[in-house]
Amino acid sequence: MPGDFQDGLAALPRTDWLGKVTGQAEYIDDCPDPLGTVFGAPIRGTQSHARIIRIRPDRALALPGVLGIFDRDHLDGLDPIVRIGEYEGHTRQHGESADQHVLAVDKVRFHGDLIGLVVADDLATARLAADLVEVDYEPLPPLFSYREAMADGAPLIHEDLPDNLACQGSFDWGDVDAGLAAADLVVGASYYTPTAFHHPMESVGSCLADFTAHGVTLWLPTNKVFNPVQQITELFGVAARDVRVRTPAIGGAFGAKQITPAMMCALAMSRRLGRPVRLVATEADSFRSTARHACLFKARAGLTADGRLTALDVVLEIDTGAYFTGASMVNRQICISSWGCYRLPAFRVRGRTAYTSKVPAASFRATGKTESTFGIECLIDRLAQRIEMSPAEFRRRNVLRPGEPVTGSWRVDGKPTPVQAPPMDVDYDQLMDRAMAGIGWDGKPNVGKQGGRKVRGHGMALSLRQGAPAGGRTYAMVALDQQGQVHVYHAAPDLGEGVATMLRVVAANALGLDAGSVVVEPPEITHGLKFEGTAAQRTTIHMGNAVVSACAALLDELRAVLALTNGGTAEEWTIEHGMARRRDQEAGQGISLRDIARNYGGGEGGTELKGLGAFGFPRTQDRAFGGLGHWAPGALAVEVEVDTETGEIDLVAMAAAGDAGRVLHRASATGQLSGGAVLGTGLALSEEVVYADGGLVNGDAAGYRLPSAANVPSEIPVWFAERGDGPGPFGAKGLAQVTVPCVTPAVNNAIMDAVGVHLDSAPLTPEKILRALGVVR
Amino acid sequence: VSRPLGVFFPASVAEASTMLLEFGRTGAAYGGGVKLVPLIRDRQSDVTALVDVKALSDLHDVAASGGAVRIGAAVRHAELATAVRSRLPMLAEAEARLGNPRVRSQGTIGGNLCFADPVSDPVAPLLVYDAEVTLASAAGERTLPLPEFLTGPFQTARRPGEILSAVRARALEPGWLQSYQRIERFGRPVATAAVARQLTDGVLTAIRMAVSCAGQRPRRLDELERGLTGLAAGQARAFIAGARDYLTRVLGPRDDLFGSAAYKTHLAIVLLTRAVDGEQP
Repeated sequence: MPGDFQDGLAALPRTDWLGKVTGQAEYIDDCPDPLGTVFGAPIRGTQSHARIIRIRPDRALALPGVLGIFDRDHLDGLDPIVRIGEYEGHTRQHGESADQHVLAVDKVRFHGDLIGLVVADDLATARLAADLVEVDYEPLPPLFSYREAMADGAPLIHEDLPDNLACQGSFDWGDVDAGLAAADLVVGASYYTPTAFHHPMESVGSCLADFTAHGVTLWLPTNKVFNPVQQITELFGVAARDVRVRTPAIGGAFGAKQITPAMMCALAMSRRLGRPVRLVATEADSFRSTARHACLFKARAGLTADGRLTALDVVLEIDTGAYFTGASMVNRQICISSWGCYRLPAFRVRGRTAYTSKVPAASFRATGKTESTFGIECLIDRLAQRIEMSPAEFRRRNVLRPGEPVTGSWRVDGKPTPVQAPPMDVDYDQLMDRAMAGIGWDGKPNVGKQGGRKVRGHGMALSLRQGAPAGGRTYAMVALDQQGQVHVYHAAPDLGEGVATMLRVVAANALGLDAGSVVVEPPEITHGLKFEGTAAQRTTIHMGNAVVSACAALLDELRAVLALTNGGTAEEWTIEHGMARRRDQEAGQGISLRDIARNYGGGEGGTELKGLGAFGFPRTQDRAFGGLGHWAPGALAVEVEVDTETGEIDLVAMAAAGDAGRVLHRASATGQLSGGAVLGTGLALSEEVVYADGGLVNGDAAGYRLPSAANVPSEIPVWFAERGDGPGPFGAKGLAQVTVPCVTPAVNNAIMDAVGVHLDSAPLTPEKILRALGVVR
Repeated sequence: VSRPLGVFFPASVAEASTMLLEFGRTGAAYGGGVKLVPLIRDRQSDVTALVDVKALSDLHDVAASGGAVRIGAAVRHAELATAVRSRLPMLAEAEARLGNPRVRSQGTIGGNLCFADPVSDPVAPLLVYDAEVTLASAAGERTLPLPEFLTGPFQTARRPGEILSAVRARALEPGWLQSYQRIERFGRPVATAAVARQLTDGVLTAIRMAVSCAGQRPRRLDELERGLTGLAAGQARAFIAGARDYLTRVLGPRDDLFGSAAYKTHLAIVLLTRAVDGEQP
């Protein structure tokens, strides 16, 4: 790799800042309507579980301006049984990999399940028409929890299955029963993480669908531009190369921005009408598109008298909602992170996932880790409390040290399976010290030492993610144009976290150029530069490395071109800081990149010189972690003030530490830790999608309260370990997800430190505190 | 077809009244629109004609005469928060903390009262200030005490064609101690209390108290007021704590997303106690 990392680039402004602060960034709803655009409005089921007897669109179709309906009775010969929400190859327990279809045919399985799409000349007419479609139902009992769904005799959500079990899995090592039997103390606890919604600032479900004889173009904000292609080709029988998925600016995703069933219906209507169809998502659409899984984490841990863990036994009851979507992926993610980051001679986890009558759940930033980390990190504090040890000391004693292996061998569903995880490459002591110092906490307990109405407490939590799991082959292309400008072509959407900025820094460093010489183009799939998607802390490592590889290929190409135009052999040419020199040539006689391109290609519109790069991890047999290059840790400390009369929780201070390997762009990296902490604050204190009285109760911002700037500390100090030891470009690691899962357990632990009681479910509300204290009954 | 929305600008209260009668169920008086417009947008309202009462010039004044303060219905929350700070300090406090800056700079006191959401910030102080509302129509004006105007959740005694033109509140004489208390969850009030009291030698010689947002019914707490009058201030805490059943009955709290009925009654007790103790936010 030419040149050292230029630290100055890490301090540059983000590429997207000006457009975003001036409102000029074009989000999907800002994209101009192509000529002839018409508008769709989804028809959504009003029941949580019901057989569809009849759909009566007559009144809607009679409305002037209505152009048609796509529903089970108006399918244009298409087969709606196309899998939506297939997640990275995981399979449903009983066969088929995903079971959410383009629209509901036989039953609605959640409140808002898609029955069809009405299209009209304008949006207001389309929405009015959607309201006028009458649906006759045969109501069936809805199931809103794992317990209800798994009870004997529960009605079946998918009648082709014998029960409501979506999938299950178990992982273990060592002898858990012996470990518990040998313990001096066994402590059990359970922690419930409720269903939540991602709630990105931009709604979920807007798109612009254009189906023509020459090809299909779908504009949508998504983190995975290649994902929709397979579904589109399967439904419409078009060739993959005729499908173009494009992304405008994206207003946050957190896992929620996937292709939706309504978008497939919009494509079908565009195909029928020969006109572009636009969907403008509402809050109601957003809340009915996806969710985070609910999960009950039940655990027993064995301890020696001197505070060492002997064994951990975890049982998970997971609620995936109405369709499979991410069920097995999430079941696995919660399972493999349920041991936390601790030295455990024996560990066992058994996870079972049930279908319920709720919005289908899928990926959510730190998928599975919010559920497991809430459980294990609160359990750790409870264990420490039982043996009267400070939680910080207890963690220091049990956390894996740098260089320690995680486990000798996994059993996956009882079968021995290779472990291809590296030894722990993280110094948690340092991360804990930095997080605690960030809030001025000396680690001493507070409980019982304070009088008065308002009491303060400190708490912390650690997280661990397997870093950058395999995600197929990633390609990038770097091109030098006739103006000497370098363009980075790729398919990694920037969701707001700074992907484009990161790629610019990486390319500029890899080529030894200033940032102004590099333009990162919007993600594009027609180049066929495959990428699994901006997810799973993958992008910096996979796409960053692919860009480094492409830059190296471009330099090779430039040397080859120099040999053609200026003589000598390619090997005789070197390129540094944008200047090419032939061996033995005098200093000062270099050739600029612009001249290399011009000498060969000749003027505007001439040849762009290109380098193609690729990256991928080796195939792995590790069925637990799926192969990884590093460990991605997080530590977060909080100070809370609890009003013991009202239960109000004030988040006084919060600080985080993560392992960046190397910070490629400081503002973006800081935003990942502090932004994750803010997202986590909402999940900790407020967010829960509530189902009652047969339906979804709070699918809007009035009922689903989010924190505002007033609810988080004005500063969230962050600290990065930077040892340059990651598998990403210049030694970087991924760190997008490490703080999100820490906030709920850290706040709960701080509550226990303040008032002596732990809560056993999120969100951590004032009323739950008062009930735990016995003030309200 | 796509239900165009008309906005109408009356020149007088009489004209506005006539317009509202004409439009019937499809018309609504429109102030800041902070409650109404989202309902229309979400197609939860049949309203297609907005009669803009902000257009009426005499609905914008705040005027004091004697002990009374007359507040025009179109006065915005943010304006009220400063305009009545000295005369009606608890109302000013409530208006300053209501909603968020956007709602405060757009929403009006008249709109808030006519919407009759049981979760209303200004109502508790207005009840303590013995507020009355003026209802105007082409036929003339009538005045109702606020408790008679607020007939139930999202229900008022306003008749077809009537416009709430003003709120009249009675300022308290010097010597009254006033305290407004509010608990919110992520911007939404869960309970509010307004208490004014007179203390002589440590004895509560007069007290007025009201609670809003905690239940279905914002109320003056007459029975509690009578019970507390004459008690030493130090005895108030226990007395209020003993009023749990009374408060539950009078306020009508319900279990909802923001807490159980028991929790909200508890908050009412805490806030009343804090207010009687003279705590300032």
